[in-house]
Amino acid sequence: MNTPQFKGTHLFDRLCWAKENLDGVQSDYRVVFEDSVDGCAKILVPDPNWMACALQGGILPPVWVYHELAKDEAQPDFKKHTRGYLLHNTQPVEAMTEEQALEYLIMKDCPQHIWRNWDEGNRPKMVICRKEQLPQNREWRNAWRISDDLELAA
Amino acid sequence: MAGKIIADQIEGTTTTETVGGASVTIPNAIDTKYVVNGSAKAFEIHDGDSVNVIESFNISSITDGTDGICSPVFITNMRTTEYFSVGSTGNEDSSIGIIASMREGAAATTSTYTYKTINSANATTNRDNTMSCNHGDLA
Repeated sequence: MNTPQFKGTHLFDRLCWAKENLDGVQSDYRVVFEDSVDGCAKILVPDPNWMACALQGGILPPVWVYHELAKDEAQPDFKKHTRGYLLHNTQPVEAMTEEQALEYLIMKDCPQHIWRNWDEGNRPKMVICRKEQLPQNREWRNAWRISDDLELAA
Repeated sequence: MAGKIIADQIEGTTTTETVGGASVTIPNAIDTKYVVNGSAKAFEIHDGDSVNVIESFNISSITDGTDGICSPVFITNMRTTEYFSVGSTGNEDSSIGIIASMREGAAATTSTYTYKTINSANATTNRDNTMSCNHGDLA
């Protein structure tokens, strides 16, 4: 199915179209990250409807749009977004592979201080894994950490 | 073919009923702004153990923070941080689950919010059907 020309269409309306026309895609990938030395690892799970939009292409705005909105929101006098048009009027991104979609999602939904410096320091602060590689039950969930013995793929 | 209906008001047939012996006209119209502004802007249902998303709208991911703590992220940001979130949770048995805290641990942003699920002993827990819904204005 071809995606309509959505530039200029409110992002919410595009999601309504996607909900009606696309089947959700459950990803097998998970993003594990640690944003505090004292806290346990967090697990980011992609949303299947979002993943369907990413794989379809022509629906989601470029990720830099979210970074611009985050900059606005970080201003001390922030009250409300006045540049929401960036979400709706910027040319949507083309279809992504699942791997590209995960990279986009990391840059969108993980804290920037994690993904910008994920491999600096004594150990990685973030890894992408398959869900089967996570512990199979949640015993001691509050103590989960990224393993020191991790073998990183190139 | 796609179409568009532009209307300021939706109106049904006005009815008249008898209340306490008196005839009362029941208005049956609403401004469309109430419909648009009052609609939910995002929702999600997920399994608290696996954090698999069961159903959703306007959500890009859910981060499992630890037992009972999760953070959904919007695709379309909300306009302000003052939007209304409500949650509910439970298993398909008699296990008690309560959404104890919206904005758990941190103030909401226009892109994400965090909430906590507890059991009857006030301990954080996970339930098979954990869900939340958001109302407010979009960016």
